[in-house]
Amino acid sequence: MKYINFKQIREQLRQNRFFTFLSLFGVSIPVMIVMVMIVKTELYINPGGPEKDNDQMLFLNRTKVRMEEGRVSGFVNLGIIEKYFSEIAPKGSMAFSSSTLTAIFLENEVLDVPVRYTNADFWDVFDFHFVDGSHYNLDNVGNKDNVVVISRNLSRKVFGMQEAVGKTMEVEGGTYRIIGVVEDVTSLAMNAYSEIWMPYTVKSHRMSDPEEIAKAAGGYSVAFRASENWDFDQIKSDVERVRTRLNQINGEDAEIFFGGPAPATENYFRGFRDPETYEGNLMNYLALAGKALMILFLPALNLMSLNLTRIQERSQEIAIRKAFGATRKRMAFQIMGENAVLTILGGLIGLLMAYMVMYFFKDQVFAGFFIRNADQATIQINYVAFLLVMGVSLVFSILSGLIPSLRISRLQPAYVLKGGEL
Amino acid sequence: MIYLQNISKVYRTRNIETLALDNINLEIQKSEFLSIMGPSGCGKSTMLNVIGLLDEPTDGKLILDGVEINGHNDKALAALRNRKLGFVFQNFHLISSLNVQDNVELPLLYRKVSPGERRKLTEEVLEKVGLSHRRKHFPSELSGGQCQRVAVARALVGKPEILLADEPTGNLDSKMGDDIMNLLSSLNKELGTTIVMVTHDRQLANQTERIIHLFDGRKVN
Repeated sequence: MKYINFKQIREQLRQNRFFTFLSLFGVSIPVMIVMVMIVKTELYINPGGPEKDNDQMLFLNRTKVRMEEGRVSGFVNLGIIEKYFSEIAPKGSMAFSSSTLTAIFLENEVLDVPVRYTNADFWDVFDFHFVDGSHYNLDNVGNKDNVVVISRNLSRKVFGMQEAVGKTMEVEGGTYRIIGVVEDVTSLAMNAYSEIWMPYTVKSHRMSDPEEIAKAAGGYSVAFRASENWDFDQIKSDVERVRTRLNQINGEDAEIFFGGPAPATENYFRGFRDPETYEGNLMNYLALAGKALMILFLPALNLMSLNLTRIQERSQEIAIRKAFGATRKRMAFQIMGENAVLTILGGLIGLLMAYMVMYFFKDQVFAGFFIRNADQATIQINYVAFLLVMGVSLVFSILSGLIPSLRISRLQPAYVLKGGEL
Repeated sequence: MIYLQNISKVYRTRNIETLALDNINLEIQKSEFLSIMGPSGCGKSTMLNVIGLLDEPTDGKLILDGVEINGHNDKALAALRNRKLGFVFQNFHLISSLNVQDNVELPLLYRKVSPGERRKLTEEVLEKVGLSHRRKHFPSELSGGQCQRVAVARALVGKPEILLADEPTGNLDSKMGDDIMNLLSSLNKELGTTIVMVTHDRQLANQTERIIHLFDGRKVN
């Protein structure tokens, strides 16, 4: 710290506003972009809320069937889930659901509200926080009971401050009894998010013909929760067994592929890629890291040229300091220390900007996520990632100060004091 | 105190070689107040820079306070400049982003002096040059005379044995010039500081104990 005179840095920043602006701009914008990139990716992979411990889960939301006459792809067919997956999944460890939008009519307003049709185990697999009441159970689902769970947000909109549990509401032409109210769910939780949840049986009609099932895609996504007795490998091999069975039924006519079951990270990178040709995460990780490094590195080059200009301007000061006893090493450390302070300052501004961008432009930031109601996304800044980004920025910034510092080391004070240039 | 033996300095560019100092021999006694005179470009400032270790001679031997300066590394030269020498420049060369107090305490920053001690020594020397009331001001808020007094205070705060002044009154009017000259004379008399001053001004030079004349890099009688 002895190399850094904060008072002087403040005064220099104040006196040379244009340079200060360029330097801070040069650091804060890339930090902002990288932070938005990281947080966006991270929120997709782990959105929090009911999916907060999704590292214990595997997701399956893609089916592709190759047939002679072409191919079919989509989510997972309900028949496959009910007939085959239900056999392999222990109780409480498989959630499946399908989501759509419905209109809720209020006195002066029509609300477009997401509704999710789920099985009973959905509530065991995902971690919801009930504000009031409870969720529907296996009997409700089996009996096709007209019961719903709603979000606190919807409860407020429809019933104001009144208690919602016990009341009824009209959904898709039917009357449903509200049996539970949950804390609002971030819309980034793509497997759990909704404002209304109801038993899938009130809507779905399963196919019964095994041959039809075996070559059908559908509209459901599936989440498996691993446990001691049913770990990731076991889940994957059980699902693969189901696939083999289905393909035995298909014979020569068709071949079915699943995009999973996969952890959330792989699911993110996999996206809608063909389940047949997906080749793992490594290249995707490298591409993401490369993009981040590039974004952080390019401004470092800019900072380097700014540093050279700044040192040119400050060559007299450097010569004076040397005349009064500063060593080359000390001057080099001072320049690099000042760079580090500028970088940290720019980084903090970048972090603030990243948060503001994600908060005020949620729709644009999460546009590629295929999510509904981006305004209901809960943004969490990842401070570990921020420290990492700052670390990389600091390394680049110190490197960008190296060349100017090396030039300083060759400086003859007399030459500069006479008006010579670096 | 200062010995220059056969000192030469040659500046070389790709096409031109300029002999700035030509075989200079000079001995300066402790507590002497000496001025160097000569026309522009005769090598006065170069000689001062060589004595001040701000420039390396091409040839010859320099001895400062019994220490032969030969092949010293950057750290050793910096320590010698810091402990033994003080500089006053014609253009003041104050650091614009530092206030008076911080400018003055600059040499102490490169020694192991506690912040409290630094403040105390700075206060004392600012008192001596009559600027303690301006210690929070920045150079841009001071007159030329005040800037030069700050520069003198900075040169003195580390209590150097040798003060090198390169046309210290060159940018000042005569009244301010006299003030600075009186300040240097009193330092020389009261503290016994050895002072080497470069000047064009015969009147100022006459106030010093000895005058050296340079012409085309050579010492002339």
